Amino acid sequence: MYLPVLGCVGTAKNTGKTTALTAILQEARRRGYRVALTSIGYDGEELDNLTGLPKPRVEVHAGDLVGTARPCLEKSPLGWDLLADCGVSTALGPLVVARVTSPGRVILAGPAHRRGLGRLCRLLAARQESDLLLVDGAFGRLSPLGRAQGLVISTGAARSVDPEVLGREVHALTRLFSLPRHRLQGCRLRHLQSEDECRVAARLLAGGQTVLILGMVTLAGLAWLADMISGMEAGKGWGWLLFAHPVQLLLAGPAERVLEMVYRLESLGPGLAVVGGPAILAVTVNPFYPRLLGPNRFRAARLDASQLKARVAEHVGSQIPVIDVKRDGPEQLGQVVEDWLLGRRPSPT
Amino acid sequence: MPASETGAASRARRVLLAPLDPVHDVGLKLIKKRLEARGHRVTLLPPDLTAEEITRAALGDHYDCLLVSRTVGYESAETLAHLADLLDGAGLRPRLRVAVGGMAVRPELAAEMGYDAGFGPGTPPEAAVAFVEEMPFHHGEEALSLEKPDLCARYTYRWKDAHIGRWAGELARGILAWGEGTSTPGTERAVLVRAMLTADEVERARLEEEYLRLASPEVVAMRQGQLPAHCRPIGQEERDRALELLGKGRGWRPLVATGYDRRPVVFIQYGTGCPVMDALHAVVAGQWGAQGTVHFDPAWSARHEGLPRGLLAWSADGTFCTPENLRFFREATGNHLLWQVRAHRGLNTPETVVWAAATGADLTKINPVYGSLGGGTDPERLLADALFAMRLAADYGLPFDVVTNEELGGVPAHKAVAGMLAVVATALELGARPILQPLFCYSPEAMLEGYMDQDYVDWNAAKVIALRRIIDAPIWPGAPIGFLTHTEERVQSAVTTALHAGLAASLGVDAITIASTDEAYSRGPITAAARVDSLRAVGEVFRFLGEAAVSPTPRAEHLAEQLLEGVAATLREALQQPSFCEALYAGVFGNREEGGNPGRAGKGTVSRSGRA
Repeated sequence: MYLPVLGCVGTAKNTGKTTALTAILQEARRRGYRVALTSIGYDGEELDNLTGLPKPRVEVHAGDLVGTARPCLEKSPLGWDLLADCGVSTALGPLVVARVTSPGRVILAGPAHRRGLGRLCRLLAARQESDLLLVDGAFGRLSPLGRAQGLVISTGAARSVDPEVLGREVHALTRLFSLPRHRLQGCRLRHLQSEDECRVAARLLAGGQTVLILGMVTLAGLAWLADMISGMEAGKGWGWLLFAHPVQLLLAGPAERVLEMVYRLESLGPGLAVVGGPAILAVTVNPFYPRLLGPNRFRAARLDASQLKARVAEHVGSQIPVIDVKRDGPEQLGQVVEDWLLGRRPSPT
Repeated sequence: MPASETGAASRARRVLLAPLDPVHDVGLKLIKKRLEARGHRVTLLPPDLTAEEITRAALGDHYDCLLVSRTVGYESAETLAHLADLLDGAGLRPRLRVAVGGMAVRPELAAEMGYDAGFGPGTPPEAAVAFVEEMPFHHGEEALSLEKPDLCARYTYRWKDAHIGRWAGELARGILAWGEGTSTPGTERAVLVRAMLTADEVERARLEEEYLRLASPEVVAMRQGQLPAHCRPIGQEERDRALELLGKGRGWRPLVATGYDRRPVVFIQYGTGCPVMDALHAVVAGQWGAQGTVHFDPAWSARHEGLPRGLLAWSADGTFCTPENLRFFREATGNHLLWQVRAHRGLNTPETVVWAAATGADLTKINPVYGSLGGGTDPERLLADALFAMRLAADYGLPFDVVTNEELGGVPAHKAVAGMLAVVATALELGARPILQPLFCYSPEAMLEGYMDQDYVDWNAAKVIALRRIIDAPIWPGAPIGFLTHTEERVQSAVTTALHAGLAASLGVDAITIASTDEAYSRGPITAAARVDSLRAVGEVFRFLGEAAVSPTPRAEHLAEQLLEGVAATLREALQQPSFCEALYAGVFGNREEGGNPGRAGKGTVSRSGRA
């Protein structure tokens, strides 16, 4: 029982995650795929929780499965049959799986953490009623989407009004998600965030051993490790430094600084890889941003869309398509997702 | 029941408190104290740590819960989301349950940021305790399941001032004798409308024809689809969309409790002209602590025989009292608020009471003295209609207030109160449940006589003191409190309303009606936000006073005695008149010079051989 999980993540709030998700949803349906939906945050509301500006709504059709807090279902103007309680609680109530029986807009408030998303995925996979689970992200959050096999990254003016800054950041993100995959046996370390943990890791690496980091990684930890191994000799050759997941690295700090640290470590000797992680299928760009007018007062504003897309594409390279969903339409993004589902694009996991 | 009231926790939890804020951690200190009192082991981190530092601290022990406090703005929401991500990435979730509290936090935002719970402003520490102990907490739902209070339940209606009681009773019996066998187009229409409610289609059509013969040409034209200027029908699609927007099925969760479990009950008055806007205002006001609403009908209805039909918006004053408008309001707002439909001043008083009862109103409003001297209706006509309406209200078990707003026109308080008491005595003879509604404001009489030169407390207090000495009956000052005291400045208006509410609470009255802060300058449409201003201000004053009270000076006693003497004198003078009706025309309850102007609408329409 395998259910592909595709996450829509953003580099910040209002970068176009839900727009990308609704485009994929529309295209997946048009191409005959059965879809399940959830969110790691709160989506489908009429107005943004912080800015008060209008948000894209999520429309579901009869037959779609949704994973959301039960009170959100009850508030959504649609028909539904309750299928299961996931045994996961959210800030808005228990997470349930329901089948949509009549179309309408849905409010999605799904699992806030990775294990919760894992439980929902297993439940949906066991039902064998969906070909794809689409997961909407929230803010710039990534961690729960460590469960996904594919990601669409949304960036845009809400993150920065400088396209160059956005391009550099997305480049770093795509590089980190493209780190080599290895499943090597080695010593397991819980975290890489204290000097003691870094010292242990440095000794093991210098001894040619593989070190797998399972938990928290910090920029300071990466810097300490680099400083320590820069003064060491590796008699039998350097071991591999493995991370469970690229998201672990991204949580350490800004993507560009993490990538710099990765390059520095690699240049000092150890091989650097991740055990698993999703493939980045596409990057979407969104010229819209909420311009801050005063305390908690925002107005909708836009960057030059062509310039934004071109600059981001320059940095991302030709391997990953850059799409402005509003201007380009949903078809291109739909094709990318279908190629991935059909195995025409390899998943690195 | 909140967790903190159930004794010690069943299992001690390890709790980490993190003020993700440069300075403020008072809320968390309060929570720490409550949690420790219940036997939990609590660590409070210093303020101004980064998300990484908090995550490292969370890794340092086997915590069950992390409570984070932070005022949420655009940037800090990102920081909070990052913290949730770090905790998950570090493998701490879901063993570590995480909640966020602070200004602008709501459960929806907490879910979006990746937290298990979110506590906004005004959340009691017990909610955080309940979260830690994994117990349900029903703060909002207490209000949700609140039973609407019966304002009359605890009163005997016993006359305490034997003289005033006897004179008012004599007047009442005179009014009843005068009213015997009277009928008006208003009473006849009420009989027809009552019959229509249970009639079949054919019979209803016949009754409708008969009804139209008793209606003004303007009302007949409206029934035939010729709407006057300022009037617009609301279509089915617009109606359905409005119901959806107004939160059909969204539940009712007051954000600010102004009067729960205590008196006075706070009413707002609505009458924007648009039933959708009215319902929206009521829902907003309910969520900000109002417990009751008052339907304001247009002056147009007071001067025309018969009520229009249909879901109608009206861009002049007040909202049409059509059954469709009333039913829409009830459906859109649910059954959470006490609801008064006024029937006190025009040519449709009995019919309005029928529709009020038929559409689920909890209260109505009847006073022929005010309605004829301050509302423009002929005294004889309104007295006959009011008698019929009071019989209906008694039959329906519908309490009604007897307002003394003729004071706003300059009628002295003792005359207005005397008129009110005669009506109250009549209502009691009919088995109805009247509510006393003294004016609680800077009235023209108070201005002229200097009653409020010293303060705004004594004169208002004197009215309540005097009424308490007269009769054991519910008191609902208004309407609204602070009227004419308000200026066009919003803060002044909110403060004035709130202070009057505080005085009303101190005097232990049963209900108050409050104005929005823009009523004094809008001269028309008012905004929901301005209602919230007043409700918030009232809530703050109730909180400020708590069990304490505003204390009048000894002058209030003196003014109360003066008022009692005036009331007694007025009642005696009225008894000298051939009838109560004659007393109204003669100015006993307020003459033209004082501002009591007998109205002309419906003059000559009372018959003594009618079918009613």
